[in-house]
Amino acid sequence: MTALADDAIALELLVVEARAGDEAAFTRLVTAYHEDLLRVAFVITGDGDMASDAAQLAWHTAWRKLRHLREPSRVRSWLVAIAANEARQMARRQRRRSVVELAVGPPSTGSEPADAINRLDLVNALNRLTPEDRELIAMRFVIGLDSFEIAAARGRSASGTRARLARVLAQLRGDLDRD
Amino acid sequence: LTVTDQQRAADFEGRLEEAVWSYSHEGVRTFDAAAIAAQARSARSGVLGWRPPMIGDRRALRLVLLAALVAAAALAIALAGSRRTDTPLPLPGVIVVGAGDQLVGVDVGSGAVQQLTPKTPHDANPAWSPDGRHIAFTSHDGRGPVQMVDADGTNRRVLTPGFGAGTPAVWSPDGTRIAFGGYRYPPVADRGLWIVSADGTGLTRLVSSDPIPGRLAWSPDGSMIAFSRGDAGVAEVVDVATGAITGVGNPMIDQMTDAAPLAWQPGRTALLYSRDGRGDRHDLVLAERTGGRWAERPIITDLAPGKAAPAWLDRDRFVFVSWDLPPGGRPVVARADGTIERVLGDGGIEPWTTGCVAPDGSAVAYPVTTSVDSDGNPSANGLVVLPTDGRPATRIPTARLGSADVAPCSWRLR
Repeated sequence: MTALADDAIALELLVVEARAGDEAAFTRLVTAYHEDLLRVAFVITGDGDMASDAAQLAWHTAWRKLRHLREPSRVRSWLVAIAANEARQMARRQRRRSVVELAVGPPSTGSEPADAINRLDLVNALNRLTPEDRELIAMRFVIGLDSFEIAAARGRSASGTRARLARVLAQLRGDLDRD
Repeated sequence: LTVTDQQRAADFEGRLEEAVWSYSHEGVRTFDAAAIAAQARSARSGVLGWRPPMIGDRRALRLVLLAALVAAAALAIALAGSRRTDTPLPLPGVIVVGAGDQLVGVDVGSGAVQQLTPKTPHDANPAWSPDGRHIAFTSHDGRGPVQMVDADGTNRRVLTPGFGAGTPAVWSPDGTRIAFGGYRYPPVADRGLWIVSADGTGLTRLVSSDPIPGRLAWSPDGSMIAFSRGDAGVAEVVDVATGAITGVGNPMIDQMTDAAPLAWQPGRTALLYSRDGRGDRHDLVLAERTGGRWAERPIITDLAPGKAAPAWLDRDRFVFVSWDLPPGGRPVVARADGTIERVLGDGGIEPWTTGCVAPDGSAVAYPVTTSVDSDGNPSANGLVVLPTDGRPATRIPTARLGSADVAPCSWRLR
Protein backbone atom coordinates (compact mmCIF):
# COMPACT_ATOMS: atom_id res chain seq x y z
CA MET A 1 0.00 0.00 0.00
CA THR A 2 1.41 3.39 -0.94
CA ALA A 3 1.49 6.66 0.93
CA LEU A 4 -1.39 7.81 -1.21
CA ALA A 5 -3.60 5.10 0.21
CA ASP A 6 -2.77 6.30 3.69
CA ASP A 7 -4.11 9.76 2.98
CA ALA A 8 -7.82 9.37 3.59
CA ILE A 9 -8.90 12.66 2.04
CA ALA A 10 -6.77 12.29 -1.07
CA LEU A 11 -7.98 8.75 -1.42
CA GLU A 12 -11.61 9.74 -1.13
CA LEU A 13 -11.18 12.35 -3.83
CA LEU A 14 -9.38 9.82 -5.98
CA VAL A 15 -12.28 7.39 -5.73
CA VAL A 16 -14.75 10.13 -6.56
CA GLU A 17 -12.71 11.13 -9.60
CA ALA A 18 -12.33 7.54 -10.75
CA ARG A 19 -16.05 7.04 -10.34
CA ALA A 20 -16.66 10.01 -12.57
CA GLY A 21 -14.60 8.30 -15.28
CA ASP A 22 -11.21 9.87 -14.61
CA GLU A 23 -8.82 7.29 -16.06
CA ALA A 24 -5.75 8.77 -14.41
CA ALA A 25 -7.42 8.55 -11.03
CA PHE A 26 -8.31 4.92 -11.66
CA THR A 27 -4.71 4.20 -12.61
CA ARG A 28 -3.58 5.71 -9.33
CA LEU A 29 -5.95 3.40 -7.49
CA VAL A 30 -4.32 0.49 -9.29
CA THR A 31 -0.91 1.78 -8.25
CA ALA A 32 -2.02 2.06 -4.65
CA TYR A 33 -3.75 -1.28 -4.23
CA HIS A 34 -2.64 -3.76 -6.86
CA GLU A 35 -0.01 -5.27 -4.60
CA ASP A 36 -2.63 -5.85 -1.88
CA LEU A 37 -4.82 -7.64 -4.40
CA LEU A 38 -1.95 -9.81 -5.62
CA ARG A 39 -1.01 -10.82 -2.08
CA VAL A 40 -4.53 -11.76 -1.08
CA ALA A 41 -5.20 -13.63 -4.31
CA PHE A 42 -1.93 -15.52 -3.92
CA VAL A 43 -2.75 -16.69 -0.41
CA ILE A 44 -6.10 -17.96 -1.67
CA THR A 45 -4.91 -19.62 -4.88
CA GLY A 46 -1.29 -20.46 -4.06
CA ASP A 47 -0.44 -19.68 -7.67
CA GLY A 48 1.19 -16.51 -8.98
CA ASP A 49 -0.41 -16.65 -12.40
CA MET A 50 -3.88 -17.16 -10.98
CA ALA A 51 -3.29 -14.40 -8.48
CA SER A 52 -2.33 -12.07 -11.28
CA ASP A 53 -5.43 -13.01 -13.29
CA ALA A 54 -7.67 -12.61 -10.25
CA ALA A 55 -6.30 -9.15 -9.57
CA GLN A 56 -6.81 -8.11 -13.19
CA LEU A 57 -10.38 -9.41 -13.15
CA ALA A 58 -10.94 -7.53 -9.92
CA TRP A 59 -9.96 -4.26 -11.54
CA HIS A 60 -12.34 -4.95 -14.40
CA THR A 61 -15.17 -5.47 -11.92
CA ALA A 62 -14.10 -2.46 -9.89
CA TRP A 63 -14.19 -0.18 -12.94
CA ARG A 64 -17.72 -1.29 -13.74
CA LYS A 65 -19.05 -1.18 -10.20
CA LEU A 66 -17.19 1.63 -8.56
CA ARG A 67 -20.42 3.59 -8.32
CA HIS A 68 -21.80 1.00 -5.93
CA LEU A 69 -19.10 1.72 -3.38
CA ARG A 70 -21.01 3.72 -0.81
CA GLU A 71 -18.13 4.95 1.30
CA PRO A 72 -15.02 5.89 -0.68
CA SER A 73 -12.91 5.74 2.46
CA ARG A 74 -13.48 1.98 2.50
CA VAL A 75 -12.28 1.34 -1.02
CA ARG A 76 -9.40 -0.88 0.06
CA SER A 77 -11.47 -3.57 1.74
CA TRP A 78 -13.98 -3.34 -1.11
CA LEU A 79 -11.28 -3.99 -3.71
CA VAL A 80 -9.74 -6.76 -1.66
CA ALA A 81 -13.12 -8.47 -1.35
CA ILE A 82 -13.59 -8.36 -5.12
CA ALA A 83 -10.14 -9.83 -5.74
CA ALA A 84 -10.72 -12.49 -3.10
CA ASN A 85 -13.99 -13.42 -4.76
CA GLU A 86 -12.25 -13.85 -8.10
CA ALA A 87 -9.44 -15.84 -6.50
CA ARG A 88 -11.90 -18.07 -4.68
CA GLN A 89 -13.69 -18.93 -7.88
CA MET A 90 -10.39 -19.75 -9.55
CA ALA A 91 -9.30 -21.90 -6.65
CA ARG A 92 -12.60 -23.78 -6.76
CA ARG A 93 -12.26 -24.39 -10.47
CA GLN A 94 -8.82 -25.78 -9.90
CA ARG A 95 -10.46 -28.24 -7.51
CA ARG A 96 -8.49 -29.44 -4.57
CA ARG A 97 -4.83 -28.80 -4.91
CA SER A 98 -2.31 -31.49 -4.15
CA VAL A 99 -0.57 -30.88 -0.87
CA VAL A 100 2.41 -32.86 -2.08
CA GLU A 101 2.65 -30.92 -5.31
CA LEU A 102 2.53 -27.50 -3.70
CA ALA A 103 4.74 -28.42 -0.81
CA VAL A 104 7.71 -28.19 -3.14
CA GLY A 105 8.83 -24.62 -2.71
CA PRO A 106 11.95 -22.53 -2.28
CA PRO A 107 14.25 -23.98 0.34
CA SER A 108 14.50 -22.29 3.68
CA THR A 109 17.27 -19.71 3.86
CA GLY A 110 18.14 -20.88 7.32
CA SER A 111 17.98 -17.33 8.56
CA GLU A 112 14.51 -17.53 10.10
CA PRO A 113 14.09 -17.36 13.86
CA ALA A 114 13.92 -20.76 15.51
CA ASP A 115 10.23 -20.38 16.34
CA ALA A 116 9.25 -19.05 12.91
CA ILE A 117 6.60 -20.99 11.06
CA ASN A 118 8.17 -23.04 8.30
CA ARG A 119 7.03 -22.00 4.85
CA LEU A 120 6.32 -25.50 3.63
CA ASP A 121 4.32 -26.28 6.74
CA LEU A 122 2.36 -23.09 6.18
CA VAL A 123 1.63 -23.95 2.54
CA ASN A 124 0.44 -27.40 3.48
CA ALA A 125 -1.69 -26.04 6.29
CA LEU A 126 -3.24 -23.43 4.01
CA ASN A 127 -3.97 -26.09 1.42
CA ARG A 128 -5.96 -28.00 3.99
CA LEU A 129 -8.26 -24.98 4.35
CA THR A 130 -11.10 -24.12 2.00
CA PRO A 131 -10.62 -21.14 -0.31
CA GLU A 132 -13.11 -19.26 1.88
CA ASP A 133 -11.00 -19.88 4.96
CA ARG A 134 -7.80 -18.91 3.15
CA GLU A 135 -9.60 -15.69 2.24
CA LEU A 136 -10.27 -15.07 5.92
CA ILE A 137 -6.61 -15.59 6.75
CA ALA A 138 -5.49 -13.30 3.94
CA MET A 139 -7.85 -10.52 4.94
CA ARG A 140 -6.83 -10.80 8.58
CA PHE A 141 -3.08 -11.19 8.29
CA VAL A 142 -2.19 -9.68 4.91
CA ILE A 143 -4.57 -6.73 4.81
CA GLY A 144 -4.94 -6.40 8.56
CA LEU A 145 -8.73 -6.13 8.65
CA ASP A 146 -10.54 -6.89 11.89
CA SER A 147 -13.44 -9.31 12.02
CA PHE A 148 -16.01 -6.55 11.65
CA GLU A 149 -14.31 -5.17 8.54
CA ILE A 150 -13.92 -8.66 7.10
CA ALA A 151 -17.59 -9.35 7.71
CA ALA A 152 -18.62 -6.14 5.99
CA ALA A 153 -16.34 -6.81 3.03
CA ARG A 154 -17.56 -10.38 2.58
CA GLY A 155 -21.21 -9.66 3.20
CA ARG A 156 -21.36 -11.83 6.31
CA SER A 157 -22.25 -11.26 9.91
CA ALA A 158 -19.52 -10.06 12.27
CA SER A 159 -20.32 -12.68 14.88
CA GLY A 160 -20.22 -15.48 12.34
CA THR A 161 -16.95 -14.17 10.96
CA ARG A 162 -15.39 -14.03 14.43
CA ALA A 163 -16.46 -17.60 15.12
CA ARG A 164 -15.20 -18.84 11.77
CA LEU A 165 -11.88 -17.06 12.19
CA ALA A 166 -11.45 -18.60 15.62
CA ARG A 167 -12.07 -22.08 14.23
CA VAL A 168 -9.63 -21.54 11.36
CA LEU A 169 -6.95 -20.22 13.71
CA ALA A 170 -7.46 -23.21 15.97
CA GLN A 171 -7.01 -25.54 13.02
CA LEU A 172 -3.87 -23.74 11.88
CA ARG A 173 -2.48 -23.73 15.37
CA GLY A 174 -3.05 -27.45 15.57
CA ASP A 175 -1.21 -27.90 12.28
CA LEU A 176 1.62 -25.46 12.85
CA ASP A 177 2.16 -24.85 16.55
CA ARG A 178 3.93 -28.02 17.58
CA ASP A 179 5.49 -26.67 20.74
CA LEU B 1 -8.32 -20.07 28.67
CA THR B 2 -5.58 -19.41 31.16
CA VAL B 3 -3.33 -16.41 30.81
CA THR B 4 -0.61 -18.67 29.52
CA ASP B 5 -2.92 -20.12 26.91
CA GLN B 6 -3.92 -16.63 25.82
CA GLN B 7 -0.29 -15.59 25.58
CA ARG B 8 0.54 -18.66 23.54
CA ALA B 9 -2.40 -18.01 21.22
CA ALA B 10 -1.35 -14.40 20.76
CA ASP B 11 2.21 -15.47 20.15
CA PHE B 12 1.06 -17.97 17.55
CA GLU B 13 -1.04 -15.33 15.77
CA GLY B 14 1.98 -13.06 15.68
CA ARG B 15 4.14 -15.73 14.12
CA LEU B 16 1.34 -16.70 11.72
CA GLU B 17 0.97 -13.09 10.61
CA GLU B 18 4.68 -12.87 9.85
CA ALA B 19 4.63 -16.16 7.95
CA VAL B 20 1.51 -15.37 5.93
CA TRP B 21 2.77 -11.88 5.09
CA SER B 22 6.09 -13.30 3.95
CA TYR B 23 4.38 -16.04 1.95
CA SER B 24 2.01 -13.58 0.26
CA HIS B 25 5.00 -11.73 -1.12
CA GLU B 26 5.58 -14.66 -3.48
CA GLY B 27 2.48 -13.49 -5.36
CA VAL B 28 3.77 -9.96 -5.85
CA ARG B 29 5.05 -9.19 -9.31
CA THR B 30 6.16 -6.01 -10.93
CA PHE B 31 3.23 -4.46 -12.74
CA ASP B 32 2.32 -1.66 -15.07
CA ALA B 33 -0.57 0.14 -13.38
CA ALA B 34 -1.51 2.06 -16.51
CA ALA B 35 -1.71 -1.13 -18.55
CA ILE B 36 -3.78 -2.90 -15.89
CA ALA B 37 -6.15 0.05 -15.64
CA ALA B 38 -6.45 0.31 -19.41
CA GLN B 39 -7.24 -3.39 -19.72
CA ALA B 40 -9.81 -3.17 -16.93
CA ARG B 41 -11.54 -0.27 -18.67
CA SER B 42 -11.45 -1.64 -22.18
CA ALA B 43 -12.36 -5.26 -21.57
CA ARG B 44 -15.68 -5.97 -23.22
CA SER B 45 -18.29 -6.42 -20.58
CA GLY B 46 -18.94 -10.07 -20.09
CA VAL B 47 -15.76 -11.40 -21.64
CA LEU B 48 -13.98 -11.15 -18.37
CA GLY B 49 -16.87 -10.90 -16.01
CA TRP B 50 -19.28 -13.60 -17.09
CA ARG B 51 -18.65 -17.23 -16.39
CA PRO B 52 -20.81 -20.26 -16.79
CA PRO B 53 -22.02 -21.93 -13.62
CA MET B 54 -19.31 -24.04 -12.07
CA ILE B 55 -19.69 -27.75 -11.69
CA GLY B 56 -17.19 -28.20 -8.94
CA ASP B 57 -18.62 -31.09 -7.02
CA ARG B 58 -21.33 -33.69 -7.01
CA ARG B 59 -23.80 -31.51 -5.20
CA ALA B 60 -23.37 -28.75 -7.73
CA LEU B 61 -23.83 -31.26 -10.53
CA ARG B 62 -26.99 -32.58 -8.90
CA LEU B 63 -28.33 -29.08 -8.55
CA VAL B 64 -27.50 -28.20 -12.11
CA LEU B 65 -29.39 -31.30 -13.24
CA LEU B 66 -32.29 -30.30 -11.02
CA ALA B 67 -32.18 -26.83 -12.45
CA ALA B 68 -32.23 -28.32 -15.94
CA LEU B 69 -35.42 -30.19 -15.03
CA VAL B 70 -36.99 -26.99 -13.77
CA ALA B 71 -35.92 -25.27 -16.94
CA ALA B 72 -37.38 -28.10 -19.02
CA ALA B 73 -40.68 -27.85 -17.16
CA ALA B 74 -40.82 -24.20 -18.08
CA LEU B 75 -39.54 -24.80 -21.58
CA ALA B 76 -42.67 -24.10 -23.54
CA ILE B 77 -43.24 -20.80 -21.79
CA ALA B 78 -39.60 -19.91 -21.68
CA LEU B 79 -39.12 -20.60 -25.37
CA ALA B 80 -42.13 -18.50 -26.19
CA GLY B 81 -40.61 -15.68 -24.22
CA SER B 82 -37.00 -16.27 -24.96
CA ARG B 83 -36.42 -14.41 -28.17
CA ARG B 84 -34.84 -11.10 -27.45
CA THR B 85 -36.14 -8.19 -29.38
CA ASP B 86 -35.55 -4.49 -29.45
CA THR B 87 -39.15 -3.80 -30.42
CA PRO B 88 -40.76 -1.71 -27.69
CA LEU B 89 -43.28 -3.52 -25.56
CA PRO B 90 -46.89 -2.46 -25.25
CA LEU B 91 -46.23 -1.74 -21.60
CA PRO B 92 -47.20 1.44 -19.84
CA GLY B 93 -45.05 3.73 -17.77
CA VAL B 94 -41.72 5.44 -17.53
CA ILE B 95 -38.58 3.96 -16.06
CA VAL B 96 -36.10 6.39 -14.63
CA VAL B 97 -32.58 5.12 -14.41
CA GLY B 98 -29.20 6.51 -13.52
CA ALA B 99 -27.13 6.09 -16.66
CA GLY B 100 -23.58 7.29 -16.33
CA ASP B 101 -23.79 10.49 -14.35
CA GLN B 102 -27.29 11.56 -15.28
CA LEU B 103 -30.88 10.53 -14.80
CA VAL B 104 -32.60 9.23 -17.89
CA GLY B 105 -36.30 8.54 -18.37
CA VAL B 106 -37.28 5.64 -20.61
CA ASP B 107 -40.81 5.44 -22.01
CA VAL B 108 -41.38 1.72 -21.92
CA GLY B 109 -44.15 1.78 -24.52
CA SER B 110 -42.27 3.67 -27.19
CA GLY B 111 -38.67 3.11 -26.18
CA ALA B 112 -38.11 6.88 -26.25
CA VAL B 113 -35.37 8.11 -23.94
CA GLN B 114 -35.33 11.51 -22.28
CA GLN B 115 -32.40 13.01 -20.40
CA LEU B 116 -33.71 14.36 -17.10
CA THR B 117 -30.61 15.80 -15.44
CA PRO B 118 -27.27 17.04 -16.79
CA LYS B 119 -24.38 14.61 -17.01
CA THR B 120 -22.91 15.85 -13.75
CA PRO B 121 -22.60 15.50 -10.84
CA HIS B 122 -23.07 11.77 -10.47
CA ASP B 123 -26.82 11.54 -10.24
CA ALA B 124 -27.99 8.03 -9.50
CA ASN B 125 -30.30 5.84 -7.45
CA PRO B 126 -33.53 7.48 -8.61
CA ALA B 127 -36.85 6.73 -6.93
CA TRP B 128 -40.26 7.87 -8.14
CA SER B 129 -42.49 9.41 -5.51
CA PRO B 130 -45.62 7.30 -4.93
CA ASP B 131 -47.72 9.84 -6.86
CA GLY B 132 -45.27 9.84 -9.77
CA ARG B 133 -44.78 13.61 -9.65
CA HIS B 134 -41.21 13.73 -8.28
CA ILE B 135 -37.97 11.80 -8.41
CA ALA B 136 -35.71 11.57 -5.36
CA PHE B 137 -32.10 10.63 -6.04
CA THR B 138 -28.69 10.62 -4.50
CA SER B 139 -25.23 11.20 -5.80
CA HIS B 140 -23.26 8.06 -6.37
CA ASP B 141 -19.99 9.66 -5.32
CA GLY B 142 -20.91 8.77 -1.75
CA ARG B 143 -20.91 12.37 -0.62
CA GLY B 144 -23.89 13.94 -2.28
CA PRO B 145 -27.00 14.90 -0.43
CA VAL B 146 -30.49 13.68 -1.18
CA GLN B 147 -31.93 15.70 -4.02
CA MET B 148 -35.18 15.90 -5.92
CA VAL B 149 -36.48 16.92 -9.31
CA ASP B 150 -39.95 17.03 -10.77
CA ALA B 151 -40.98 14.29 -13.16
CA ASP B 152 -39.71 16.22 -16.19
CA GLY B 153 -36.31 16.90 -14.62
CA THR B 154 -37.02 20.51 -13.66
CA ASN B 155 -37.10 22.21 -10.25
CA ARG B 156 -33.99 20.55 -8.90
CA ARG B 157 -33.53 21.05 -5.16
CA VAL B 158 -31.32 19.70 -2.38
CA LEU B 159 -33.15 18.19 0.58
CA THR B 160 -30.18 17.51 2.85
CA PRO B 161 -27.40 20.06 2.39
CA GLY B 162 -24.20 19.16 4.19
CA PHE B 163 -24.88 15.45 3.99
CA GLY B 164 -23.35 12.44 2.35
CA ALA B 165 -25.90 9.89 1.29
CA GLY B 166 -24.58 6.44 0.77
CA THR B 167 -27.64 4.44 0.00
CA PRO B 168 -30.63 5.00 -2.22
CA ALA B 169 -33.36 7.14 -0.79
CA VAL B 170 -36.69 5.41 -0.23
CA TRP B 171 -40.09 7.07 -0.08
CA SER B 172 -42.66 6.57 2.62
CA PRO B 173 -45.78 4.98 1.12
CA ASP B 174 -47.74 8.22 1.54
CA GLY B 175 -45.05 10.21 -0.27
CA THR B 176 -44.48 12.69 2.55
CA ARG B 177 -41.04 11.55 3.76
CA ILE B 178 -37.80 10.02 2.54
CA ALA B 179 -35.47 7.69 4.43
CA PHE B 180 -31.81 7.30 3.59
CA GLY B 181 -28.61 5.94 5.05
CA GLY B 182 -26.16 8.78 5.32
CA TYR B 183 -23.84 10.95 7.33
CA ARG B 184 -22.90 14.56 7.75
CA TYR B 185 -20.03 15.60 5.51
CA PRO B 186 -17.44 17.04 5.82
CA PRO B 187 -16.14 15.73 8.10
CA VAL B 188 -17.88 12.38 8.28
CA ALA B 189 -20.11 12.33 11.34
CA ASP B 190 -23.44 11.05 12.60
CA ARG B 191 -23.68 7.96 10.44
CA GLY B 192 -27.10 6.40 10.55
CA LEU B 193 -30.60 6.01 9.18
CA TRP B 194 -32.12 9.42 8.60
CA ILE B 195 -35.56 10.68 7.69
CA VAL B 196 -36.43 13.94 5.98
CA SER B 197 -39.73 15.36 4.83
CA ALA B 198 -40.22 15.71 1.09
CA ASP B 199 -39.98 19.49 1.45
CA GLY B 200 -36.59 19.23 3.17
CA THR B 201 -37.78 19.91 6.70
CA GLY B 202 -37.79 17.63 9.73
CA LEU B 203 -34.37 16.07 9.23
CA THR B 204 -34.06 13.41 11.95
CA ARG B 205 -31.66 10.60 12.68
CA LEU B 206 -33.82 7.61 13.50
CA VAL B 207 -31.01 5.07 14.02
CA SER B 208 -27.35 5.61 14.83
CA SER B 209 -25.32 3.12 12.80
CA ASP B 210 -21.74 2.76 11.60
CA PRO B 211 -21.53 1.42 8.96
CA ILE B 212 -24.40 3.36 7.50
CA PRO B 213 -27.53 1.28 6.95
CA GLY B 214 -28.19 -0.34 3.63
CA ARG B 215 -31.10 -2.11 2.03
CA LEU B 216 -33.71 0.29 3.32
CA ALA B 217 -37.34 -0.66 2.81
CA TRP B 218 -40.34 1.27 4.13
CA SER B 219 -43.22 -0.97 5.18
CA PRO B 220 -46.40 -0.73 3.09
CA ASP B 221 -48.36 0.68 6.04
CA GLY B 222 -45.68 3.33 6.68
CA SER B 223 -45.10 2.40 10.30
CA MET B 224 -41.74 0.63 9.98
CA ILE B 225 -38.48 0.75 8.05
CA ALA B 226 -36.44 -2.41 7.51
CA PHE B 227 -32.69 -2.03 7.16
CA SER B 228 -29.36 -3.73 7.66
CA ARG B 229 -26.20 -2.24 9.09
CA GLY B 230 -23.82 -2.09 6.18
CA ASP B 231 -23.73 -4.84 3.65
CA ALA B 232 -24.44 -7.72 5.97
CA GLY B 233 -25.93 -8.62 9.26
CA VAL B 234 -29.28 -9.28 10.72
CA ALA B 235 -32.28 -7.54 9.23
CA GLU B 236 -33.67 -5.03 11.64
CA VAL B 237 -36.91 -3.11 11.71
CA VAL B 238 -37.30 0.29 13.32
CA ASP B 239 -40.63 1.67 14.40
CA VAL B 240 -40.83 5.09 12.74
CA ALA B 241 -42.92 6.61 15.52
CA THR B 242 -40.94 5.38 18.52
CA GLY B 243 -37.50 4.50 17.17
CA ALA B 244 -37.75 1.04 18.76
CA ILE B 245 -35.63 -1.51 16.92
CA THR B 246 -36.38 -5.21 16.50
CA GLY B 247 -34.08 -7.86 15.02
CA VAL B 248 -35.83 -9.95 12.41
CA GLY B 249 -33.93 -13.20 11.96
CA ASN B 250 -30.64 -14.78 11.06
CA PRO B 251 -27.90 -12.90 9.21
CA MET B 252 -28.59 -12.11 5.59
CA ILE B 253 -26.10 -12.44 2.85
CA ASP B 254 -25.17 -11.06 -0.49
CA GLN B 255 -22.08 -9.82 -2.17
CA MET B 256 -23.25 -6.41 -3.25
CA THR B 257 -25.30 -4.11 -1.13
CA ASP B 258 -28.09 -3.07 -3.40
CA ALA B 259 -28.69 -6.53 -4.82
CA ALA B 260 -29.88 -8.06 -1.57
CA PRO B 261 -32.98 -6.14 -0.77
CA LEU B 262 -35.32 -6.47 2.09
CA ALA B 263 -38.64 -6.76 0.31
CA TRP B 264 -41.87 -6.12 2.21
CA GLN B 265 -44.69 -8.36 1.07
CA PRO B 266 -47.62 -6.17 0.02
CA GLY B 267 -50.51 -6.34 2.43
CA ARG B 268 -48.62 -8.24 5.13
CA THR B 269 -46.03 -7.62 7.81
CA ALA B 270 -43.52 -9.92 6.20
CA LEU B 271 -40.05 -9.47 4.72
CA LEU B 272 -38.40 -11.44 1.94
CA TYR B 273 -34.60 -11.71 1.78
CA SER B 274 -31.74 -14.10 1.12
CA ARG B 275 -29.62 -15.72 3.79
CA ASP B 276 -27.08 -18.50 4.21
CA GLY B 277 -28.31 -21.97 3.46
CA ARG B 278 -26.47 -25.26 3.63
CA GLY B 279 -22.84 -25.17 2.63
CA ASP B 280 -22.26 -22.34 0.21
CA ARG B 281 -25.88 -22.29 -0.90
CA HIS B 282 -28.40 -19.55 -0.32
CA ASP B 283 -32.02 -19.64 0.80
CA LEU B 284 -34.82 -17.17 0.20
CA VAL B 285 -36.61 -16.59 3.46
CA LEU B 286 -39.93 -14.98 4.32
CA ALA B 287 -39.93 -13.57 7.83
CA GLU B 288 -43.33 -12.71 9.23
CA ARG B 289 -44.16 -10.80 12.37
CA THR B 290 -46.71 -12.27 14.68
CA GLY B 291 -47.34 -10.16 17.71
CA GLY B 292 -43.97 -8.72 18.66
CA ARG B 293 -41.86 -11.54 17.25
CA TRP B 294 -40.52 -12.41 13.85
CA ALA B 295 -40.44 -15.97 12.55
CA GLU B 296 -38.41 -16.98 9.50
CA ARG B 297 -39.68 -19.48 6.96
CA PRO B 298 -37.42 -20.63 4.13
CA ILE B 299 -39.51 -20.70 0.98
CA ILE B 300 -36.94 -21.45 -1.73
CA THR B 301 -33.78 -23.23 -0.60
CA ASP B 302 -30.46 -24.47 -1.93
CA LEU B 303 -29.90 -21.70 -4.44
CA ALA B 304 -26.54 -21.05 -6.06
CA PRO B 305 -24.72 -18.09 -4.52
CA GLY B 306 -25.44 -14.87 -6.33
CA LYS B 307 -27.56 -11.78 -6.24
CA ALA B 308 -31.05 -13.14 -5.79
CA ALA B 309 -32.44 -9.60 -5.76
CA PRO B 310 -36.01 -10.56 -4.79
CA ALA B 311 -38.82 -8.08 -5.50
CA TRP B 312 -42.55 -8.51 -5.06
CA LEU B 313 -44.80 -8.29 -8.12
CA ASP B 314 -48.04 -8.35 -6.16
CA ARG B 315 -49.38 -9.77 -2.90
CA ASP B 316 -48.54 -13.35 -3.80
CA ARG B 317 -45.84 -13.35 -6.48
CA PHE B 318 -42.25 -12.20 -6.49
CA VAL B 319 -39.35 -12.29 -8.91
CA PHE B 320 -35.78 -13.23 -8.12
CA VAL B 321 -32.64 -14.11 -10.06
CA SER B 322 -31.62 -17.76 -10.02
CA TRP B 323 -27.98 -18.58 -10.70
CA ASP B 324 -28.71 -22.30 -11.09
CA LEU B 325 -30.31 -21.84 -14.48
CA PRO B 326 -27.90 -21.78 -17.41
CA PRO B 327 -26.65 -19.75 -19.15
CA GLY B 328 -25.90 -17.41 -16.27
CA GLY B 329 -28.56 -15.87 -14.07
CA ARG B 330 -32.23 -15.90 -15.06
CA PRO B 331 -35.16 -14.13 -13.41
CA VAL B 332 -37.76 -16.49 -11.99
CA VAL B 333 -41.33 -15.69 -10.99
CA ALA B 334 -42.36 -17.54 -7.84
CA ARG B 335 -45.24 -17.56 -5.41
CA ALA B 336 -45.06 -16.84 -1.71
CA ASP B 337 -45.34 -20.56 -0.95
CA GLY B 338 -42.17 -21.18 -2.99
CA THR B 339 -43.88 -22.54 -6.10
CA ILE B 340 -41.97 -21.65 -9.26
CA GLU B 341 -44.34 -20.10 -11.76
CA ARG B 342 -42.18 -19.08 -14.70
CA VAL B 343 -38.60 -18.57 -15.88
CA LEU B 344 -38.10 -15.31 -17.74
CA GLY B 345 -35.84 -14.24 -20.56
CA ASP B 346 -33.04 -15.87 -22.43
CA GLY B 347 -30.50 -15.95 -19.64
CA GLY B 348 -27.29 -14.20 -18.97
CA ILE B 349 -28.88 -11.61 -16.72
CA GLU B 350 -26.30 -10.13 -14.43
CA PRO B 351 -28.20 -7.52 -12.50
CA TRP B 352 -26.15 -4.82 -10.90
CA THR B 353 -28.93 -4.39 -8.50
CA THR B 354 -32.53 -5.19 -7.78
CA GLY B 355 -34.80 -4.98 -10.76
CA CYS B 356 -37.50 -2.36 -10.80
CA VAL B 357 -40.98 -3.77 -10.95
CA ALA B 358 -43.83 -2.16 -12.82
CA PRO B 359 -46.34 -1.04 -10.21
CA ASP B 360 -48.94 -3.41 -11.66
CA GLY B 361 -46.50 -6.33 -11.57
CA SER B 362 -46.73 -6.81 -15.33
CA ALA B 363 -42.99 -6.57 -15.96
CA VAL B 364 -39.62 -6.21 -14.34
CA ALA B 365 -36.61 -4.29 -15.64
CA TYR B 366 -32.99 -5.04 -14.88
CA PRO B 367 -29.99 -2.87 -15.50
CA VAL B 368 -27.60 -5.51 -16.80
CA THR B 369 -23.89 -5.49 -17.33
CA THR B 370 -23.65 -8.79 -19.09
CA SER B 371 -26.05 -10.66 -21.23
CA VAL B 372 -25.74 -13.72 -23.41
CA ASP B 373 -27.17 -13.96 -26.89
CA SER B 374 -28.72 -17.08 -28.40
CA ASP B 375 -25.28 -18.31 -29.41
CA GLY B 376 -24.03 -18.08 -25.87
CA ASN B 377 -21.84 -15.06 -26.52
CA PRO B 378 -21.73 -12.16 -24.11
CA SER B 379 -23.43 -9.16 -25.64
CA ALA B 380 -23.91 -5.50 -24.98
CA ASN B 381 -25.39 -4.32 -21.74
CA GLY B 382 -28.19 -1.90 -21.06
CA LEU B 383 -31.65 -2.17 -19.61
CA VAL B 384 -33.69 -5.34 -20.14
CA VAL B 385 -37.45 -5.26 -19.65
CA LEU B 386 -39.10 -8.63 -19.07
CA PRO B 387 -42.88 -9.07 -19.00
CA THR B 388 -43.80 -11.42 -16.19
CA ASP B 389 -46.33 -13.25 -18.38
CA GLY B 390 -43.57 -14.68 -20.54
CA ARG B 391 -43.81 -12.33 -23.49
CA PRO B 392 -40.54 -11.47 -25.23
CA ALA B 393 -38.08 -9.16 -23.55
CA THR B 394 -37.16 -5.70 -24.71
CA ARG B 395 -33.63 -4.44 -24.49
CA ILE B 396 -32.97 -0.73 -24.18
CA PRO B 397 -29.46 -0.69 -25.59
CA THR B 398 -26.55 1.10 -24.09
CA ALA B 399 -26.30 3.44 -27.05
CA ARG B 400 -29.81 4.76 -26.44
CA LEU B 401 -29.25 5.25 -22.73
CA GLY B 402 -26.06 7.17 -23.36
CA SER B 403 -23.97 5.11 -21.00
CA ALA B 404 -23.04 1.54 -20.30
CA ASP B 405 -22.98 2.35 -16.63
CA VAL B 406 -26.57 1.87 -15.63
CA ALA B 407 -27.61 2.13 -12.00
CA PRO B 408 -30.80 1.16 -10.15
CA CYS B 409 -34.06 2.05 -11.80
CA SER B 410 -37.53 3.00 -10.69
CA TRP B 411 -40.78 2.47 -12.61
CA ARG B 412 -44.02 4.41 -12.53
CA LEU B 413 -47.18 3.93 -14.51
CA ARG B 414 -48.61 6.80 -16.48
